Amino acid sequence: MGRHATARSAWATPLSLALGVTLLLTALGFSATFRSLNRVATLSGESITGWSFSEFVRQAAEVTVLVGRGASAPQLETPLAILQSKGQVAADEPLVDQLPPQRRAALRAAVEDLQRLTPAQLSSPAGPARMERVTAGALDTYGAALQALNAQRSGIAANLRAAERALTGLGLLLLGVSAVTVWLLLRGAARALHAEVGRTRAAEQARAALEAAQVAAQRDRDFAVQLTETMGEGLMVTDARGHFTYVNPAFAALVGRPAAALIGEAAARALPDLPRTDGPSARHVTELTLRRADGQDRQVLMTAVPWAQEGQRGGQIAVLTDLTDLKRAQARLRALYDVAAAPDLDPAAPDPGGSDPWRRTVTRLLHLGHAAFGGAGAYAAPSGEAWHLAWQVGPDHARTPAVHAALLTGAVQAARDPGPASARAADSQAGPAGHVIAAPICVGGAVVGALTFHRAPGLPFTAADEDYLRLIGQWAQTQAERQQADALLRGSEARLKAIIGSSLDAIITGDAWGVITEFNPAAERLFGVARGHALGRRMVDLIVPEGLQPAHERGLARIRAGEPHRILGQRLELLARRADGQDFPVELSVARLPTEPPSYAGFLRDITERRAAEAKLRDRTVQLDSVFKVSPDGFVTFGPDGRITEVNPAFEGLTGLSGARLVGLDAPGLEVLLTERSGAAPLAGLGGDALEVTRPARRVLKRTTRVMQGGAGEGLGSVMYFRDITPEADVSLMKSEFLSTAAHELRTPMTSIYGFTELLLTRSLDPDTTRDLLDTIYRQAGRLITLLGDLLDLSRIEARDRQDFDFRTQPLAPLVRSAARAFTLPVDVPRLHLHVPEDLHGHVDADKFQQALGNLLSNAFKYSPQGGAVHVQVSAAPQGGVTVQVRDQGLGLTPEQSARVFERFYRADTSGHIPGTGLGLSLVQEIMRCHGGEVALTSETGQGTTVTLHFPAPALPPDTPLPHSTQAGIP
Amino acid sequence: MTYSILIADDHADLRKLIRMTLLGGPFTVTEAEDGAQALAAARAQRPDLIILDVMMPGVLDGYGVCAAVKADPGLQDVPVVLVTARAQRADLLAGQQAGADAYLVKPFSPTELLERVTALLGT
Repeated sequence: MGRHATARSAWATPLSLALGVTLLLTALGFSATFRSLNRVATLSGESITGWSFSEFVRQAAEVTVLVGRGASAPQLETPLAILQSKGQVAADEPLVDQLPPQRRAALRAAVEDLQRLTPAQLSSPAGPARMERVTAGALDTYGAALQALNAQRSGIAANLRAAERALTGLGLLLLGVSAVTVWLLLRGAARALHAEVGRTRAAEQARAALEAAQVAAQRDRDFAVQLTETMGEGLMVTDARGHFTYVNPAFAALVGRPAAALIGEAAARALPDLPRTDGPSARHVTELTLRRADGQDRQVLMTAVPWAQEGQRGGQIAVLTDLTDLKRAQARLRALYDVAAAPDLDPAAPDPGGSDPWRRTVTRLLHLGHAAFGGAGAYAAPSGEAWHLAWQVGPDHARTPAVHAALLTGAVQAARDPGPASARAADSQAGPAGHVIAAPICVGGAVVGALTFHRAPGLPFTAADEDYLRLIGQWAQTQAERQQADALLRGSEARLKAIIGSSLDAIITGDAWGVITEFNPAAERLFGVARGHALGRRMVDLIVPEGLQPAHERGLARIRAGEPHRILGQRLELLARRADGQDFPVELSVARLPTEPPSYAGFLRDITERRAAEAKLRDRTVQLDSVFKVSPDGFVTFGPDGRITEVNPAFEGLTGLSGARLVGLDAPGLEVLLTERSGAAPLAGLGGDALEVTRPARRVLKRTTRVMQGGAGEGLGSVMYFRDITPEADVSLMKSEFLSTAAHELRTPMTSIYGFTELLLTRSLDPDTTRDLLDTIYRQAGRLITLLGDLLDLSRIEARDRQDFDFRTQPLAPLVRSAARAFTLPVDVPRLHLHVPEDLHGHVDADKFQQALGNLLSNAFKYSPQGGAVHVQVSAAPQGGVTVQVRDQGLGLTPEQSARVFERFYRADTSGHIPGTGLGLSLVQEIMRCHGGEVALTSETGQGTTVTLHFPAPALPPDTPLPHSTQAGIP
Repeated sequence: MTYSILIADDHADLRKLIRMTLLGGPFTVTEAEDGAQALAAARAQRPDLIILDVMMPGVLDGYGVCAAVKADPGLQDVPVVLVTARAQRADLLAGQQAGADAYLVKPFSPTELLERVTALLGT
């Protein structure tokens, strides 16, 4: 460097020197600069040789790795040779001259040391230490070389800067001397400078690439080492002689020997089937047997590629995969598949399950598991809450309580989580009971059982076992589901057969040509044809009457042509023919069966009885309809929707409401119409169901509503029934009035008796008054007695009607005389005049006749206080029968009184002077009613009254002799 | 002082019973045989009290007479005693509606009648 500084100061000092000196100096300066530049260029070129250092270090690292791994001497031979040559190259590097002297010496010593190294030394136990020293030396040298290189580059940069400055000064000088020369010089210098700069840049880039390559190489190496050391497959490298040069730990484990022991050994010892590959060939894959150190053989899959080194024939690199487990799993699967595919055809296995196919399947699966796992297998099934051991194979100790408990635990766990995953019984892992593994079997989401395997302590189940058990569990599950489905199918087939067999309907199936394929017992009974006779015959020849045969054939043809036919899915009523040639009505429905080719099932039912029942029902309906029409009671029927469906003529007549107006109306609507036509208030004493309509005529109707129900309890609507109870209602009304009146009439005499008696008891009265009051009391008491008697008579007649009457055809004269005797006073001038033909006969009850006549005579005398004759005239009536007339000349009656005389308790006299009950004429009227006769009264005030009774002739049966002939002998 | 009392009943015996009951008291008695007579007599005499049988022949029964009396401004203060053989609830109601001041059911006690009359007259 000092040299450059001198040159620069030489340029700076003599500015005032002559141009010649300047030119000379310029030439000198140029030469120095060029030299300097040339050197820079040389240095730069040489610096590229720094590569050899990195190569050296890299190879050293490789060898160190090999040594560290315990590579054998032959293995180390080549790498060491390479390392030695690389060390030599690095030591011959010109850059070494740039190194500090002690480094230079150390490098040379290290290289010399390296050259002396032998592979055997390196593979010896001291090898790693030796190698470490070599590597350390190499790395040291490399670091120093890099520093030197860096220093060199700094020098180059300083030179460049000096050159730049020199050129600047030169430029200024040359301005004045020779522009052309200077320009030319400068151009040359600039070009050189440019080239130099480019070279420096390249050197920089080379250094960066060097460092990156260094890092990448280290990483690749680390990865490769890691990969080979940790990979699960075995990796082996052989040399050309077929000896192991490298094996990874997995390979060593596969063979069962340490890796170090294998290196250098012939590969054929571990792999007897290893093909001898002569010369480089392509990648190949083979299955081999690998012999382990313990004598066991394992199946392996080998993938091998040949490798060659520097054109020489090499060995091969191979990856080995252990196939033993896979093979075993495949074998297990095959066995499982065999069991599941043909569980009943395996002659090797005894029939352990008896006739229960499920038990047979499970037992076989258990045998399979037993063969695979070597332990004891059992099947547990849940019975209610508990689990019980159903079947088991293998050693008896599977029945020990501990195993049983573990089994239950496992099964219960599985039951809680009914997935297909097997469940290990965790608590039995360490216990003396050994190891248990269980798989639940589910059908339709419910656990139907669990497969359990037990192994002695120390033989835990592997993941592969677990997988295998899961497979067994799945097989069992599939099998169980299939068996269940089979059972269901068999059940439904059996059921179908039973249904067809026991059906009450005849079921006949046939094809599209009408050939019978099935003929059930009901059909045999219905047609009188045996099934064996029917099968294979055509329906048209067997059961179709002649009249229907063309239609039957046409229908079949249409079905065959695929056209829609009305018979399908319909209910038809037609005739069928029995074996004896008799036709009878049947109901037929035909269904197409989903078979190929399609067949058809006909369901037939004898409807002879139903037809008869329908006819009967029709008749009954007609009858009921007539009753409905002619009934005097009104009917209104409501449909299930609560609307009127029908109204009979009687109802129309009773209410004047037309049916056309009512039909479709609901109950409240009817009520409105009825209310419009009825009296204001519901009738008292007739119950709430009675209503009175005032239009078209006054009628009292009693309503009854009945809800109609079908046989199944379904509502059929209701019927409203109106009975005309007008007469009953009137009678009831009259009775009620009568009672009220009778009470009044009874109370009146009672009042007198009670009141006057009290006066007599409480007051002191004079004897005349006392006598008068007692007289009144006596009279009223007598009246009370008569009243009671009359009332009893009347009510007896009313209640008993004609039952107590004894009608006889008899002469009336004795009866009249007998009645009159009570009114004939011997001392008086005779007032009573009887006109009775002795031979006149009447058909009467003698007692009642006399009572009626007596009442009339009593009235005649009572109401003739001034006297006057009373005539009784008995004569044959022109219209038949007999007339009895009683005529007086007494007080007579006003027309108002005449109108009321037949009312009960009515009395024309209210003065109290004429005794009476007001029931006399009522009694007469009742008696005449019972005789079927009549009573009539005519009267005029002050002129007297005439009452006429008419007893009709008896209505005799035609064969009865006439009364007069039987009575002919009587005078 | 004497009170004039009108008795209306179609039964002579009952008129006699009432008359005898009132005998000895400070009463003068007028009798009528039916409703029309009774109303006419009442209007003509303005009695101090009227005793009416309910069931009387003619257009006017006891209720009718009572209602007419109570509707007559000149007579409406005159107390009316109804005497009847009808003892049903409806009959009592009808009497009340007609405005009767007392209601006696036959057979009645003469003493009770006297007490009612005395009470109504305030003697």
